[in-house]
Amino acid sequence: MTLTLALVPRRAALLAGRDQRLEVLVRASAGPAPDGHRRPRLNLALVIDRSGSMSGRPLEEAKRLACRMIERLTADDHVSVVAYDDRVHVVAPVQPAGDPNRFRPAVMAIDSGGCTALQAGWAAGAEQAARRLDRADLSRVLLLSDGCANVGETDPTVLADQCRRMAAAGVSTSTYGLANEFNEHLMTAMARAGGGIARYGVTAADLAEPFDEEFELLSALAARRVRVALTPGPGVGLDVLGGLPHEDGGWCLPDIAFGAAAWALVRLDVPAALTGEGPDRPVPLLQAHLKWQDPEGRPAHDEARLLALPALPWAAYQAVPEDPEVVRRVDELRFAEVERQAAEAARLGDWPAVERALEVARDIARDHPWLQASLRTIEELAHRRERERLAKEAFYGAAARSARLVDPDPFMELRGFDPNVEAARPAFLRRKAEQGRNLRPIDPDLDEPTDPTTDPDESPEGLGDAIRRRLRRRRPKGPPASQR
Amino acid sequence: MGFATDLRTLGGFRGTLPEFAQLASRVADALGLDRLRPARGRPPADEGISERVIRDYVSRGVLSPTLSNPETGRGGLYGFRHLLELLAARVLLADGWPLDLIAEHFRNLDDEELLQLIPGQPTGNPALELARRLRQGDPDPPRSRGRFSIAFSRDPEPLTDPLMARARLRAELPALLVALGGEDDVRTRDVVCLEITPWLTVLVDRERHRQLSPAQAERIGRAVAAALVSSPAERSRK
Repeated sequence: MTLTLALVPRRAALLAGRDQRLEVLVRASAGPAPDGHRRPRLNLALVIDRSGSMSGRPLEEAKRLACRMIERLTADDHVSVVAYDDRVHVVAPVQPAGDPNRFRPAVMAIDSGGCTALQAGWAAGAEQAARRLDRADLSRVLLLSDGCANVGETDPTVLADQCRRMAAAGVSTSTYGLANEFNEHLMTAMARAGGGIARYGVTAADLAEPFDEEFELLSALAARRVRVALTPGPGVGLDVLGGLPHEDGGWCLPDIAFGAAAWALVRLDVPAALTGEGPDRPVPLLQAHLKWQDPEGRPAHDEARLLALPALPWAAYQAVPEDPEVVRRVDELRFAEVERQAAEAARLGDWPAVERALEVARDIARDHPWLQASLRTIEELAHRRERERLAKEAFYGAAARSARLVDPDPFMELRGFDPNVEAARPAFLRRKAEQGRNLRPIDPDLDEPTDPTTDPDESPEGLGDAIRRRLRRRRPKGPPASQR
Repeated sequence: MGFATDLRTLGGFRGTLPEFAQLASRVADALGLDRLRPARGRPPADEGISERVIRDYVSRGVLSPTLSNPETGRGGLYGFRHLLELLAARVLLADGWPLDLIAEHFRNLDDEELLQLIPGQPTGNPALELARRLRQGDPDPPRSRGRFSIAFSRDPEPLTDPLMARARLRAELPALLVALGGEDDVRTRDVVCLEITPWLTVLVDRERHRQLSPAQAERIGRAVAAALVSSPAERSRK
């Protein structure tokens, strides 16, 4: 398996005689899965918060999500289940999956307890996964929590560093935040350092789709620990945008699935002095080099790519069109930055600042249906003054836009935004208008709880609610869950 | 003690029940296994490793059947596998496992896998050893704060991780507030700020302000007047 690296400039030319900035899309694509592709053997540690705040419906739904995940594994996979409050309980030690009935009683017997020893729970999950590192291609801790770490080690810097070290040793970490109280900065930092994904759900039922996304991504995994090393040409300034971490001599891209691409956006500062050689002497601007691990952990790399562009006079330069994919990515990153500002302002309860950020967002989203749909969600939350919901939705929205997998075919990403079409795509390529809500039809087993504080007749309907209701209406009626 | 760091040195052990109980107690003590905290809702492992406990574990299937004694032709001898099973059982008990599940789990594990369950043993598995260190409280501080690319509009400059800085502040907040004598969370509310004069400002809850009737406003005005003439500052001047 190999990745294809492409360097796509916003405009395939420089303007002669001017200092200028140029955005370049760095895209690493994996082709479709080869015939006979066998998905990697998985070794998952499901770590479930059972602190007091999870009692009742959230814990019941979390347990059912865990059982669903276990049901999707086969006898070649390994799985373990850890529950934690202020103490850790290894509910099911690491063992071959394949017979979900062996796990179900133990998982369903998890009950709620006290505080949130998040680090202890995560580390116990990491220990379970580490025990079967040699019998799996991919080992990962899936950490689900609805609260802030308040027992044991709680320093986010330490926790993220521990996730980074475990990832380097072979056990990655994904985090799932639930509802409004968890620390999204901590959960995102852990997943980013731990080489996994960070998602959140308004309810536990809303985590069904992120769990599916994780499973589909791991099943179709083509490359992990993807790093791109970027070297600017002589005299050229280079900035990498979007808050990507830098490790192992390269910028970290997300894990890549077959039929998907990861990307980074860079901004080059090109001084006028470099553009005076004429159109026949392309200016060397950027060299890129990709390295990664295949699903079995074997290192791989590609040949270095070089971007060099001619410097043209004004008229000829203007005739070179802008690349629509790069323009789209630039706008998405600008939108993400505004979302981050809105999230921070909402956290402080600074609604005028939220409004100012949304005003900028409206301008950016003008020609982007997906951004418009996301904006409507945030506007709705701002209208209702839902501080925590807005902070989380905007924060995770920004993260989704800054580091997401895309279809390698630019056309697929440039068409409009239709939630029904998105629901039919692989979960890891799906664009969502509401990060904390399911987009696809909800499993009746995981039906949403009714929020007793919200009157559905008086509460304005969010976009996600409307989509879900439409999809439910289209869903063919099947036998009740108890008969299946 | 050599066995405290590598149980493999006891690979050739064979002994009677009293010999086995004595060895197991010494090893468990050296490895700190009898100091493990029991999981919530579980009783303590018990008073220690006694002959009675070992017999109980054999009867429950946690320990394999005893080996046959060549001198008597009957069972009753314990070996290295029994030692691993016993020590691993102590670990799992502390993790909250019931004995019947431990027995079932052990049936599928070989000696090497049992050894991996016991802390302090060289496993040849760096990830496992790291995870164990992290569970026990890792003494190593974070090695670096990492390097990150910049936000879209920010001037190019080396960045520390803003995400981490925010995460840290939020994690510290509850303890800091409690240390200041308050609750563990900041209470915020939307208010309307009314500047009556340059030296008099009134803050009113936004929602209540929106719903305020003239009669309520009148009562509030009188209450404010009463408070002003009877405030501590006014009294002290008198």
